[in-house]
Amino acid sequence: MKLAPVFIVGAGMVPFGKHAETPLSALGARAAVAALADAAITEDRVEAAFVGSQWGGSMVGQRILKQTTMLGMPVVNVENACSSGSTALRLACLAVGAGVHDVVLVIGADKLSALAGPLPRHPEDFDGSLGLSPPALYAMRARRYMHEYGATIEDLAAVCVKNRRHAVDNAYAHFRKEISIDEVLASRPVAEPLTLLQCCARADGAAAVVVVSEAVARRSGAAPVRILASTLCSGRFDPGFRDMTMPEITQRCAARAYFDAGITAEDVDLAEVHDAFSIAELLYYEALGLCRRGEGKHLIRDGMTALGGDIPVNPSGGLIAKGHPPGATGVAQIFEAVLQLRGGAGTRQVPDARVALTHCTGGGVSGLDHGACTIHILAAA
Amino acid sequence: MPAAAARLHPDCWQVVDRDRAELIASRCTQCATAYLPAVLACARCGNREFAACTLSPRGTLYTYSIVHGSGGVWPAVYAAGYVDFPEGVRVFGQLRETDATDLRIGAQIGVEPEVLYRRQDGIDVVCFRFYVAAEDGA
Repeated sequence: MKLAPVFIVGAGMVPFGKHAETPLSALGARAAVAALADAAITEDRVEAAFVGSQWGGSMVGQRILKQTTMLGMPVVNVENACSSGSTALRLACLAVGAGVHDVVLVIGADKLSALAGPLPRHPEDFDGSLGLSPPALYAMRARRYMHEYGATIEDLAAVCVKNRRHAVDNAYAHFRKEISIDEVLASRPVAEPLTLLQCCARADGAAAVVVVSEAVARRSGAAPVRILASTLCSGRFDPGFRDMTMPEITQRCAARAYFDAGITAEDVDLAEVHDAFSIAELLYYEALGLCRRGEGKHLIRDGMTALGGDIPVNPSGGLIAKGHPPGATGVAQIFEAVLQLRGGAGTRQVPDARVALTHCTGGGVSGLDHGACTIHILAAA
Repeated sequence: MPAAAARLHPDCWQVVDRDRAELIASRCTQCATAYLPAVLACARCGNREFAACTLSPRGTLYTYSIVHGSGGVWPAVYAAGYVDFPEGVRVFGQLRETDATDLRIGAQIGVEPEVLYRRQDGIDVVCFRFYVAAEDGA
């Protein structure tokens, strides 16, 4: 089915961090109201909502929206691990692109600060039942990547230094203080070779965007952003010798997204990438085609992915600086992309940003690189 | 094995001697792809018939990590890794060695039975565990 063009006309979010006293439903409602205000669209015009959350529990969308006037319409709750919010956006794109709805709200929300330790896998998962945690998995990817390509632990730490520096002026980020490579490496070991500051922090937060048809976008007072590609893949199961330095799910999802958008990796002006751990960003440079295999270390060493470089990655500060409420993360990446494409990102503005890519992947299932991957490509309209 | 013990994933391993274990995969009768644990249909060819297949006593360490403060039932420090077996299957498990100087990618790995943790009801949970085998095969 050929889909009609789809646009985002509003984005809102609440700062990521610790919101111990605020219920998840209130965080989500604030983000939703902020997105609608940004779009200058009233609540009565919203026809459906897709709501992503990994840990928000049953009926999270209804719990959020009952604080507004927006109940009665179709509300779909979406769980796809770290890709929950971005999968909700994908469903909104399908609904609008297929002509079923003209105005759809997407919300991502999670509240994790009260949980302790690494996020557990489902008890039925084989590797998880034997002690595999997300930090341990990324640590093993890091160990293998360093072994195969000669990347150093300082290369990994440099990702965190860059992303923390990017977030210094980002009021929505949890961590806004610069850190040094020495500080990253001196923080406590979590899963060797990864130290604490190489792991994103559990956070509370929410983000929302308003997805509309071309007709609505044209009449909108807000600067619309066009969604050129909205792709979703599940991981392929391989019981054998997967190459853990090349996440095939991201590579496959990116190829599809570039094809759908009619662009190549060279056309991307900035990327928000799922840097749940330091090593992840280096692996995704390669899987997204920003450089060749094994060359991710050169991108970070040469400052190519820092603000001011050829292809800034995570100008928002990414998960490392913003914190990671999994359901909200994918929508917050879109929030940053919209800001950048409108030229409104202040001191972290990427000059002349025309095309932005957002990448969100996760979900631990034995034998899969990841459970889910979403990639969105957006352009200034 | 002590009386108050439970075997985790009992279909996937068995004790050979008191201190040795072997892994049992499920192998597709059509294309020979091995799975551990078992699946309903072969991901490669779609066949739904499998035969039990005892894996070689030695595998190769693909990657590993020493994990700190994971919480839950796990010890304060433990090591874990992925081991590649000649039958073409990769298996995740904990490692006996928890000192980085004892572990390296490519090391030959053996399999032993071990208590992984004690449940809240006092029952020991026993499963397979990996260890670095001496180069002479001991």
